Amino acid sequence: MTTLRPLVLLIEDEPQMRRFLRTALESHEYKLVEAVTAREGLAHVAGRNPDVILLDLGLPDMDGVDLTRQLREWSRTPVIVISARGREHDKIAALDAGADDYLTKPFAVGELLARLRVALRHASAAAPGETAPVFTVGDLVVDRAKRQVTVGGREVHLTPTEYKLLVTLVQYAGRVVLQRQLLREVWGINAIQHTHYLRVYMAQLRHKIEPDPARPRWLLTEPGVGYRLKDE
Amino acid sequence: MLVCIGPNPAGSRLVRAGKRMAVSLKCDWIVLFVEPPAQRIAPADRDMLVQNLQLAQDLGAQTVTLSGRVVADEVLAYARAHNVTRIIAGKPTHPRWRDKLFGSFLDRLIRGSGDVDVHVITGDEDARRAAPRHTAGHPAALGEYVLAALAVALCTLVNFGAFRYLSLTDVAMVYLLGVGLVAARYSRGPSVLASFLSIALFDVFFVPPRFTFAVSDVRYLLTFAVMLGTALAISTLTLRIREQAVTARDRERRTATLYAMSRELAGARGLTEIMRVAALHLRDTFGAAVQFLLPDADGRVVIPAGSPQAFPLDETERGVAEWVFEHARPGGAGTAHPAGARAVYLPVPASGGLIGVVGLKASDPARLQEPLWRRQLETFAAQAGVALERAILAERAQHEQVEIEAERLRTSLLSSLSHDLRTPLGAITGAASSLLESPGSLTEEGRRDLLAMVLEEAQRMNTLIGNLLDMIRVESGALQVGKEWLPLEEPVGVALIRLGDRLKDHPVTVSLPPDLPLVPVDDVLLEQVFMNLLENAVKYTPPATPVDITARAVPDAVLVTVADRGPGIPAGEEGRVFEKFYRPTGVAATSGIGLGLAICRGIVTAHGGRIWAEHRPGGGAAFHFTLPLSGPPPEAPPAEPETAVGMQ
Repeated sequence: MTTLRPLVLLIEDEPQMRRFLRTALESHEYKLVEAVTAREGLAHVAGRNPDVILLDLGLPDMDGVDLTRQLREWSRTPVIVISARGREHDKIAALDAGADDYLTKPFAVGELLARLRVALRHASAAAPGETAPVFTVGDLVVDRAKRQVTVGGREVHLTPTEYKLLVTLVQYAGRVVLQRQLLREVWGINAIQHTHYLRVYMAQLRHKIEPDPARPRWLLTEPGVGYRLKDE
Repeated sequence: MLVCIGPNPAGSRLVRAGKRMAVSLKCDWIVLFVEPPAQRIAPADRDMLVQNLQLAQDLGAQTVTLSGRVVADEVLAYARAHNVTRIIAGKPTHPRWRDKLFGSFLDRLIRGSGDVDVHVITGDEDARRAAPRHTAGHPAALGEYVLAALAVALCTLVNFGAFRYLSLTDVAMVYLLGVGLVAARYSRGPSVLASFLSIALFDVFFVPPRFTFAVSDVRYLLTFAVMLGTALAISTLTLRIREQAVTARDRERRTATLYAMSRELAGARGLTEIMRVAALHLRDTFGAAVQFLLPDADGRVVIPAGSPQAFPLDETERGVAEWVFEHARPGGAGTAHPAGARAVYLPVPASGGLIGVVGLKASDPARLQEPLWRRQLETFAAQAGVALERAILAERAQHEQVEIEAERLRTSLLSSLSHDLRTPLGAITGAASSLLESPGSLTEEGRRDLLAMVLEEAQRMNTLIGNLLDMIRVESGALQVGKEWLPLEEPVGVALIRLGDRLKDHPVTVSLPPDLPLVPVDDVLLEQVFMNLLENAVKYTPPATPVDITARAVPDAVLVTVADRGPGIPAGEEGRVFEKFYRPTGVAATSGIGLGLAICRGIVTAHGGRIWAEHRPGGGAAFHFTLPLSGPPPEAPPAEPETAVGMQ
């Protein structure tokens, strides 16, 4: 983090949303820069060097997905996309273009803050994957140094693929990971079409590490998009 | 005014005379042809007749073809039935003796005419004589004569054998029986031969002195004369009965085909089906390819959408069809009007005017112009017209019904929406304004309560709007089902997590068999089905009652059940619960606008499955739906050794 109070750039054309986010973020120790158009937003990224960008996909002058793609040509600042429900393909397109995560409108402040924290944490690490060797959430402990997974202190035996899948999710802990990305990283580039591999292994993994696989606590499905490993 | 014509050149003169008279009298006129039964008209005469009838039509007459044995009686019966005041007939051109022998048409007509005026007009002096007619059904073959002779010989043999037990009268009777049988089987020639032969043989073999033509008593000559007269009378009457039987059979057959078509048309539903049935019957009866043409929005007759093309329609054919539709008169091949077409086109009448045109393309188009066929064709066309009109009216009525239904839905949707969107908005407005306006007087607990309410109501509105959008997507056909093979557990889990707190009063058990196959579904849509079914259960069941989600594999599908222990679905409303804006009767109004289950049905149907509700044994409601396992199941992920990670 560059300063004590991280700087958030909000690119959003709806005044009501800006008003709500301004109030919410400023009362939670974030500094805020606002932009109404994509052009203005890009200028702010260059001029103000924000720590994280909140980007609404429906902007008047440019498509949010295109903006993300342009931004990624020269900036690694985390981008959290805000979009309405039911536009899964928009979310995937934005994540593909380089966005880090997304929020579905309407959302609660708690959700927004959690996403911001995850984004800032990942940004502060030099590169994805270079996180601490031991990952803990609730009862679940993944020790990558010992290649050991325990739930409530009890060791869980995983197959190599299951382990690889879990570790990939740990790398992006807290963030959504696209199905395609998981398939590529776990099974390789040729398996990208085999989404059922992922679903079958995810089900197996849940049965091994979730107390109630039908109501997963950590390995969450983002319908139509991918998966997310909860990290807090 | 009625003009009677026959198949001869005088007909055209009669028709023209009729036209002149009709014009001077300023009256409608009808041209009538009575076709004698079982009598074949020579091809040349047939053409003449067709021409005359066509001429009459062109001159503005109504043409009628009747069938009957006694022409004069048919004409008079028709005249009486249609209020005809004048009858025009041609002067006879045949020799007088024929009238004496067979009865005169004119004589009979004039005597029976009563108060109807009969005009007799000259035929052309140089009129070509009508071609000789075959009075029997078909020319007798030589074989028939031989068989007739054999029959008489057989009679002779029988008589010869039994002569000593028989009187001469009995012998004569046996011969008469033979003549009767011959007449019943064969045509006039063999019958007459049999009659004369019988007399001859009777004379030679049985009348004394036997075995000579000589006769011992003059009285026998009288016997011969009576016998000959009786034989001829028997054969004539028998032949006439046979002719009538043939006519009756023909008529019966025509009536039967017409009846068969009517019956099938009555059972046919929809325009396309009716056209198919009518075309099939027309084709079978008339041996022609049949094409119906109906007017389009611009009033041009075209092949209706969804109906196969029976024969190619080029510009000429189309032009003729349009001419027929415009002028309401037959046209095309074999008619004098718009020439060039290879098919004959008939107007298809209905109660409200012409409904379309039917085209028949036969290998022998002239045959379709034969009066008898033509009349039947018109009857068929009229039948088809009535059926088509019925279908068109039914379609229109159904369309209107749909409109009315849509209008009713719109009204109901608007009132639901204004109520259901305003209720949470009212709560939000109320809570927010009290928070703003009376900050001092509120306790901390009251403040939190109001805020919680604002959040809750806003979420409720969000669900509601989401449902509306889903419904619009289902209804507009914009629902895109992106199927992926996945374990059912995943969408169930997402639905349970997304519902979160709303399920806190209802224990939900999920029991999915471990060997349940993957299902090809759209995960986002299926999750919506589970959400809606669970929300439905929460809404309509008392707190603390359980909800159970189960699934099992059935042939080619997975059957999923979401069952509760609430009050169940009111009897008889199991099907209606999936209708839009349905709310159970006798249950207090709850939140929601009755779209949840309708959306479920839309989504399940889009997956090729079926959803239904029923009473759950032991109490409560059970919602079942199937998810078909369409297509080949995906290949299993590559196998791997069950080596434990972390043990190395």
